[in-house]
Amino acid sequence: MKRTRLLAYYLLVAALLHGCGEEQVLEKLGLAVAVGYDQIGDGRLLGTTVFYQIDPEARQLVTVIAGTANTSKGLKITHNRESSKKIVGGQIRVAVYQDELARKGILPLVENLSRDASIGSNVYLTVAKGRASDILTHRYPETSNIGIYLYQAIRQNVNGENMISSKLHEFMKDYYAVGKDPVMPYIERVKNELHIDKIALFRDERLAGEISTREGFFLKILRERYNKGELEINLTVDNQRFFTVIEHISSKKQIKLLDLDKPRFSVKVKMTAQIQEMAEQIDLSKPEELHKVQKAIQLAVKKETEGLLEKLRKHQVDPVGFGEIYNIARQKSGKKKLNRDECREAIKRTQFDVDVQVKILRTGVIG
Amino acid sequence: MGMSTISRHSHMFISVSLAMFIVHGNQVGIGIAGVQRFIYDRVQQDAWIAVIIAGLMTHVAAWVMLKILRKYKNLDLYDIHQMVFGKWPAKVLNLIFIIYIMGSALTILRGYIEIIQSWMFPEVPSWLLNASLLCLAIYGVTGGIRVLAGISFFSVGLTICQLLLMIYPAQYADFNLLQPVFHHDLVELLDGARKMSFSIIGFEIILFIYPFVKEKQLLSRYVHGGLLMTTLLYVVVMLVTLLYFQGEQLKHLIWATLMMMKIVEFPFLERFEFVSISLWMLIMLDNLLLNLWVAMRGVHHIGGFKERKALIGIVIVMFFASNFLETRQSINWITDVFGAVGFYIIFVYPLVLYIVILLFRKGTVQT
Amino acid sequence: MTTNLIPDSIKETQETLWQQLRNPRLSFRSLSCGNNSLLLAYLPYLIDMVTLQQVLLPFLERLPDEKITPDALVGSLPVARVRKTTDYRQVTDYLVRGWIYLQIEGVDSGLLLFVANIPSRSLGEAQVEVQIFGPQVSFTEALETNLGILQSYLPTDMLSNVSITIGRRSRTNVEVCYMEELADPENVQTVVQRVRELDVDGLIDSGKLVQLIDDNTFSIFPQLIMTERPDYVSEALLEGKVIVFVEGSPFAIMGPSTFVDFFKSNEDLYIRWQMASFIRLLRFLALFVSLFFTAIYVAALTFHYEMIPSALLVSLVKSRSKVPFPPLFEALLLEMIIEFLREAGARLPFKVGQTMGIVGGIVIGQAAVAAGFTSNILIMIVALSALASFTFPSYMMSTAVRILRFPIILLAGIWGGFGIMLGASFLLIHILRQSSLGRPFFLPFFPFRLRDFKNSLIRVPFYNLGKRPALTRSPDNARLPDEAGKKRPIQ
Repeated sequence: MKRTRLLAYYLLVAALLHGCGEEQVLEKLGLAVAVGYDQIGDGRLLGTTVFYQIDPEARQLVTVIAGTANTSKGLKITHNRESSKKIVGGQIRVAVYQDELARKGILPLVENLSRDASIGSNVYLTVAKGRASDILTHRYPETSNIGIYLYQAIRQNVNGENMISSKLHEFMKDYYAVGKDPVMPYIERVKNELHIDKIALFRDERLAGEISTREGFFLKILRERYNKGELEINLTVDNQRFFTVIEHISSKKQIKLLDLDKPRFSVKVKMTAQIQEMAEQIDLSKPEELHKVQKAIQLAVKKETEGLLEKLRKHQVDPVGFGEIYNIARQKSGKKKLNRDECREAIKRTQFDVDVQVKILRTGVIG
Repeated sequence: MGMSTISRHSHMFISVSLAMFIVHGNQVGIGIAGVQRFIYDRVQQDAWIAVIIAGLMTHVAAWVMLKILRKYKNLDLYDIHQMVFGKWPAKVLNLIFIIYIMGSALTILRGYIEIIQSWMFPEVPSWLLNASLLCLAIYGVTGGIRVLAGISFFSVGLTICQLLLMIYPAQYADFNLLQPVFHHDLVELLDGARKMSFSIIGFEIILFIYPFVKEKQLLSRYVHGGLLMTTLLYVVVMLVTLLYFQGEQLKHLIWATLMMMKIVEFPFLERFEFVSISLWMLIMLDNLLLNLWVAMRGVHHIGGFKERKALIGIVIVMFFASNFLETRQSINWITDVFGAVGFYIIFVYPLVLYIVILLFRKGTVQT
Repeated sequence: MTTNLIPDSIKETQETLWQQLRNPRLSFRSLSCGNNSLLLAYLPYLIDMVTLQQVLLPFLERLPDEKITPDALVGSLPVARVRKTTDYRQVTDYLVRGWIYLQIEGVDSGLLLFVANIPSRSLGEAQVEVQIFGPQVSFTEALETNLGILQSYLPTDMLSNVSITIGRRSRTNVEVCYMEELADPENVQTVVQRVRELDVDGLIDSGKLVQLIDDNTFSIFPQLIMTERPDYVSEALLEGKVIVFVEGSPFAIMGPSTFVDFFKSNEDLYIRWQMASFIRLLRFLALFVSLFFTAIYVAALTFHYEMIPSALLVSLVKSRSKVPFPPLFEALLLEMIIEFLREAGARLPFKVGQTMGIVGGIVIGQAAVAAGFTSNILIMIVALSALASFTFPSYMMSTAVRILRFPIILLAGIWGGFGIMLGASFLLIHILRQSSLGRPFFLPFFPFRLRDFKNSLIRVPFYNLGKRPALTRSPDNARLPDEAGKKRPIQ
């Protein structure tokens, strides 16, 4: 018995050595960090890949490679043909899509990323103003590694600022939602600098419009649990116009469908904030003064939110997910679930009752 | 050396509290990696209710099983068959059970290897992975019931650790996705619960470990405790899945739980799903070991072979059977078959057996 | 028996002993006092010459003239232990243990007198199990001394011994010690039986004995703790464990022991419980690091490049860029170098050994990186896992862990994360299968025992450790009176 057991172990070890997994040794790979997709004439794709390659002779760690093909898988083959290393996608952090391409729909490209088991779910998707390859191949004086730079810049904007996150899994979730649309950061290269100050609005898989990051602040409040960000607001108190900066601490939103037949939503936002800066000398320690300022901020936020909702309706996009809420209400009243086009049609001419309540928690360190 | 003769006997018994871990460990295996889409297919957002119903069904079935076991003092199902039906009919019934148990061991083994091949090593031949896991299984099963209980214990610990990681996808929860609640009638919900059966069976193990449990009067408490743990686990996973994925997405996800692990990140480690898949080995190992052990006892019982020889025979059969299941289709087929058969064997047959015992045997029989 | 009888003539005895021992140093001394002629036989290097010359000889010279019998002498001889014998085989047996043989002409029996001065070193500090805090004395090679130290820690009549002589040729004294009423009789029985049943040629050290009496010879893990610290042994005795001493070995064997026990140091009892808990947890972290760190590096670099965080990726990529070997080979190579260094350090004389460390650590390490042999990140990882393995108080366990690292690295190099898990599962099953004196080896974890767990990964205050561990199945469980176990008395 002992002997057979030994033999079994011996065979196991021998088999193990024979059936080694396919190696993906770091130095034999080109580790893609960022990928860009552009459309060039006759429906072909131009793919740009920023990747690390381990080569003791190379002066630069990061290499950019570009090639054309008909599909994104085809791009991979083209790239591998051009490169001395096998280019792999496991380290991709950012994907950039040309806006022209995005207007025609990017779902096949995005699905391709999500189907590949080696590519993570936390890849940031972005839209580029102009060509993606322009952004990725440009030599920036500040950084030699555009891939990581882009990644960190987006992450910083999403975590600390008003930019709306669009990781791969978030995009997929929004896309597959009936009655909700995805958004993405809209990036632009201006000479040697990258600007991430717009948000691209999608209608299903197609780019349909853009809003500023300022508007993004209000969208973010309506879309997700958001508790950061600063906002400069133009106020009118006692016929005086001045600026103030508030720091957003937390907010709660409540969206309700009021009328099923003629869609009307009540959008309630309860916001807690603190005042960072006051251009004018107003004594905030006096309750009535504070109350006035609070009222004025409320009014301003309400106006801007209404403006945003109007803009979204004009573009016929629904990043907030009104359609979803509408659909649930329909199902609750016993009607059948709508598909995405019906849903979009149904809330086309919807009305919004916006109600904003702002609570000033603190007034900064100076009274 | 023959000196630990005294202790060898105590290795034959396990304390009753371990029954909880054995039941839970044997229920949770490979099914939890991707059962969600099958249930979603039937009852959409109400899938979690179907899970609760399935959980309740397990409590009822286990109650019946315990009733049967209580009728006899110290027998397992193989012996009970012999007592009730006589020698030859019992052999046939036992053989059916052995085949069923081996089949479910096979589905678990093949299911895990399929995950390994799709996510990590597509090119490693499956016979090799088979062989290595089966060798591990032989080593474990020959250790006796105490070792099996130990593996279950640690497997349950690992399951709970992995459950904590559900916090990551839960951050992206969209509670609208659960709306409208209770939108399906009972028939649909029961159908969904039936779809769950493959992933929630395994508690039939109590029919076989019963003679090895100390303090049998406390057994039911721990068995139901284990079942409750499993139900809770599945409900949590199901809820998080429903909140994290859109239904349309979920329908196409073979391993939804693993997809959720993709977003888990630590500062020193990204792409947690690779760790998770590796750790899953222990979670599925206890199922494999316990099923092989049950099959081994069965073959020993009906054939009179020595346990060790029976085990080797079973493992060889498993090895070749597993190599026949090369494609995804064949794996789905066997999973479906054993899921369906399992439903009748686990939920229906014990009731039949109990009625037979009540009708044809007067009083309790003791041996 | 009959053939071994001592002849009644001194001359013949002398001849017989010569033939038996064939040791040129065997000394005889003939004395004649009055009508008696006496023979003394002894091995000079084993006996206390001072006692012989200043006490024993003067006494014998002053013996009365008339005929005396050995029986009359037994009571009056000025030595501690006297034994009568009629068997010359027994005589030689005792001669080599430092006894003096005394025979009177015309009597066919003799006396054995214990005047031994067996060469041994004096008490010293523990060299292997170093502790910062607590008693410093360690056992020595002499069994009697060891028993003496132990008794001084536990001056109680509950300390019981069983003496067994084993080794057909070495005739080594083995002493099984336990606390009456505290030790489970079954455990004592198991140990005594295992030792008694041994039929070996020679037994020189407890390191050999422990391999002969443990539960599974095929396991790489030691199943019984060996320690040179009398305080540790005393503590173990109070927990109800069984101790085995071997003549000539400064290491005592204690059992039953669990896997976790090998990561406990007795010092953990002397420092405050928060510190002790922290250090214990640290050691278990070290166990994990030591077993898996290098393997994880190999797996990540060979198969799972996706898992490396972006911040780490650049430095990894840079450090690997010059290395010509695949990660598996690189890691094995470096692990081998570390093992060479450790072994060289252990074998070399103390003073050279220190230089060795510098040569190994700095020169080879620096040169390996400069030459592009390995990446400096790996050097750090390998050094870290070696360092981690040195935190275990048990030398045996730390060696076992370091050896186990190699198969796990190999598995990681073949199958990545799956391979590591395969190795870990195997280890888990293996540990679960082991037992120590028939008690489960993985005890506080499986089967889970809260009572033992309180003094395993962590150590809770002594007032909460009111019971002896479940491991030893002590017949008397209470270490503290019941009320004290619940709350601390107000002072």
